Amino acid sequence: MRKEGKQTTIRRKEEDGECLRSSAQEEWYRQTMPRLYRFIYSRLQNHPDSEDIVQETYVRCLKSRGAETTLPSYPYLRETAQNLIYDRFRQLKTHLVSPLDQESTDLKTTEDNVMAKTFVQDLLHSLPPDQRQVLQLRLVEGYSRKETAMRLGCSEDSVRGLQYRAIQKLRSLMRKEEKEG
Amino acid sequence: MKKSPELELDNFIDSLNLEQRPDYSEDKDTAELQETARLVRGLRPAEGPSPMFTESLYHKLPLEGAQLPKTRRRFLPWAALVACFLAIALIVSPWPLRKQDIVLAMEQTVQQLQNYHGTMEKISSNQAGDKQVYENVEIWSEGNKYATRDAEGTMTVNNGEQHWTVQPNLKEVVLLPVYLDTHDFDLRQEAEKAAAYPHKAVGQDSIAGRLATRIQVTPPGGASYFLWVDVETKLPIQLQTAMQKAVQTTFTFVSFEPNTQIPTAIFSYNPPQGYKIIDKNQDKQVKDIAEASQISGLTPIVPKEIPQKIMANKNRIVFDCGDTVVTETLASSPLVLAPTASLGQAPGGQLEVLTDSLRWQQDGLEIKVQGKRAEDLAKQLNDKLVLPQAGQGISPTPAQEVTVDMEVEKRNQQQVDAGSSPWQLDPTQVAFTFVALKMSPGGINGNPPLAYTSLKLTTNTGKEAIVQVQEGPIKTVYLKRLVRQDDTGIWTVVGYDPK
Repeated sequence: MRKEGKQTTIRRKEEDGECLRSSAQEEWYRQTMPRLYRFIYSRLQNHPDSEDIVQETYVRCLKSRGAETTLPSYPYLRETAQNLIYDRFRQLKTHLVSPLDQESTDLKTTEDNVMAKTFVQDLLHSLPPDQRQVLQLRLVEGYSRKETAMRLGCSEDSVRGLQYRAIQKLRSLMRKEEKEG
Repeated sequence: MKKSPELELDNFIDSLNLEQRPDYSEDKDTAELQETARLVRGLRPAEGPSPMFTESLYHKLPLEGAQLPKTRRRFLPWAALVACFLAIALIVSPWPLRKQDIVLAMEQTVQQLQNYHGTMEKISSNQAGDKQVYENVEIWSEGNKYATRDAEGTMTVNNGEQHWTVQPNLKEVVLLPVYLDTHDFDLRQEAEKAAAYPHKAVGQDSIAGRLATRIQVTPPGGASYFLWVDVETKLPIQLQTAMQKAVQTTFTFVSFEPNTQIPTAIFSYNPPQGYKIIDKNQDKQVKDIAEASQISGLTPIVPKEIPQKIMANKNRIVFDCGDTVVTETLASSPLVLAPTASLGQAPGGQLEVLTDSLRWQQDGLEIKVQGKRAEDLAKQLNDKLVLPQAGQGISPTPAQEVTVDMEVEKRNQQQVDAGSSPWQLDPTQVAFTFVALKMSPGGINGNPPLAYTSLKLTTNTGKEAIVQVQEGPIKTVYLKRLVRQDDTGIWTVVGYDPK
């Protein structure tokens, strides 16, 4: 006797016609997509680029299956996204600060991401208080120059100069750490 | 009008904050600063997709007829049987035995070498095959004496008594420490490694006009490299490293004369007239312990073996025993252990153990013994030192075991050998990452969920380690070096005790 399938089929109307999508497929998408998006966003830090890469990742992975009907696993999606991010960096001709930065663009595992963040966090704590504060406000918390100036009680020009010196100092600390191993 | 670097950086930060694609500067230095800013920005919690994007993308994807991913079968019985058969065939085949003779012959020939003179070429090449001749040096070697001269005429000599560099372009002579001087393509070391590691002959090539057997050497868990042995002389004449960080280096003796006449002037210290002498050798050779104590202000612990030389400086004494050096300095601060060290016990404290050195503190001194006979000499200084033994102090059964994929670990090892993710060489950092990801399984958004300082390495035998954790849901993390058991081997979590 043929067993009743557990999957239910959801009909969705598209502009060009109808397509059949199972609840299992939807579940796969709902589970992989937010996780993949956050992975990509943590590297690109902006939504337009992240959306591009997410879409390109899914399309590439689904199209590359050929005759196979199996949905791509999350590690495969992440690996593809990582390669697309690397290509994006090369196209932008970004300049690497240090071997660590090369490592951050090549990060293939969540573990590497943890260590990279811890490394940057540690170096941030090594900065003088005013430099640390300006980077915390401008970059980590995302305040504008004006909002940062108000919080620090200084002029916007001072904020511009302070963040520049802070980033210079951070870069030299990174290079020193890499050199000393 | 060209923008100032400060303004370019400021605009870059604004773009990041406004979620716009940022423009990188044309100026390399400013672009590096912008990248540094991007790294700091990475400390922000990673944001998720908007609901609108999520829905619109779902409807665009070609999902028709697709099925859920299946668990991949990693084991194919027939393939495993074939692999076993091949492995057995290789072990019992006479072919590898014959090739081992070449390596054995090479090792013996190198040991019997009295001296040599040659020219070594060092070439770096990248993955695209682009080559760059890094340097060409002329080399003289006799016993413990070694001299090189590069294309610019800079001569560096270590005659066992003194070590110096003569730089004609600067008209300077720089005096250097004489002990533990290492060289590229050390024939003795390479012969020992080839004999000790798995190796096989994979072909023959013409190297600098000489027929040579190509030996593939594979360090345990590491990437293979090649060594070429002259078929006639049985001496190594070319070494090619594995591709690491997209660079591969080849050292070739383009000329080589074994057991030849080396002019005595080569190893004699005769600074040219008019040259400035710069002394970077902080240690001065002394005649006895009493003089060493007077100069250093220390009362040293003297090894039973009579050193070949004694050197001293303020707060420092060095006993040079040839292939091993004992350095004793004033212990002005607590011992800070190297992250990749195993832990042993010294009376009153810890013993740092690395591949070729031991270090501890005793009687107000910090003692480091480095070289081939480090353990022997260390025991001469303190017979109560306890070196770590595998299994010592390790609980055999963590409350929760962690399944390990050895293929993944081997790949990780290769990546670390190539210079990536060096934190995997530190058991505390590996444990930290493990606990952090247990607390945030989807990845870390923003700051890690526990402080790094809440972890403490309590045991490290070099093969097994235990890390105690104060914060978070895990009390103890158990680690092992599964791929390679020396200080180039990565650590892997094999179990833990939850709280």
